[in-house]
Amino acid sequence: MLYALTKAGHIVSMVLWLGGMLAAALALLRDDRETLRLFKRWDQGVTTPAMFSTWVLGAALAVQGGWFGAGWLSVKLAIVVVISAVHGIISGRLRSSADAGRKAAPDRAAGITLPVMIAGLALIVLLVVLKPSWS
Amino acid sequence: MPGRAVRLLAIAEALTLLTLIFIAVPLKHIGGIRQATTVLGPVHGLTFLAFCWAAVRAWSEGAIERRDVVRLVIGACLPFGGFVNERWLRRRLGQA
Repeated sequence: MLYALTKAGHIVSMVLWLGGMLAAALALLRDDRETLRLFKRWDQGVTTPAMFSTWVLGAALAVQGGWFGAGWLSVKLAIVVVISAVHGIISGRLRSSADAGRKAAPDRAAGITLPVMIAGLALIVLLVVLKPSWS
Repeated sequence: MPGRAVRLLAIAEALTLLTLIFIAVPLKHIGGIRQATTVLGPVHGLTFLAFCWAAVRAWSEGAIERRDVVRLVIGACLPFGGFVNERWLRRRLGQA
């Protein structure tokens, strides 16, 4: 029961985290200051806490399931590190763009992060569902 | 305040690393209490990840340079390096 609840919490957190990241990256492609401020608040209040929650509940799942050391989990953790770094980049851009005194410019670099997030999400889901064994 | 989170996480990362090295590892190898590293290992891993995330965000925000991120991550891998990182960040960000 505890494992199932942890898993449910992990999935909800992951959806909020990745959904918030995708929306924020799209917002950065526009030059609307009010939209950027809204997404900055959403990132601080929802997306970033969801990322921390995803990490903590994911680690709890790995400990409960005895998954640490499994090859598929090691690959998944590497992808999580990349996605977390992408979130750090998006979050930093949101903070600087929303607060800057000058007019915000469309952040085309944010567009590059979209395929990285989508590919990372697809790979993670594949790894978790298939749990491939390389031994 | 730009960089405040990365400073706080530098201290937290340093504390969890020292707790892992000087308390949990001896408890495992001398006391035979394996749970100490089973619990503190992931706790330190998550804190280290959070510190790296905050460093990347501070760089993306323009508070620090890209090479500063590399310096901070290398420092965080060393015992007591997190305290050095925090003092360096305080000077770098002009928050002394």
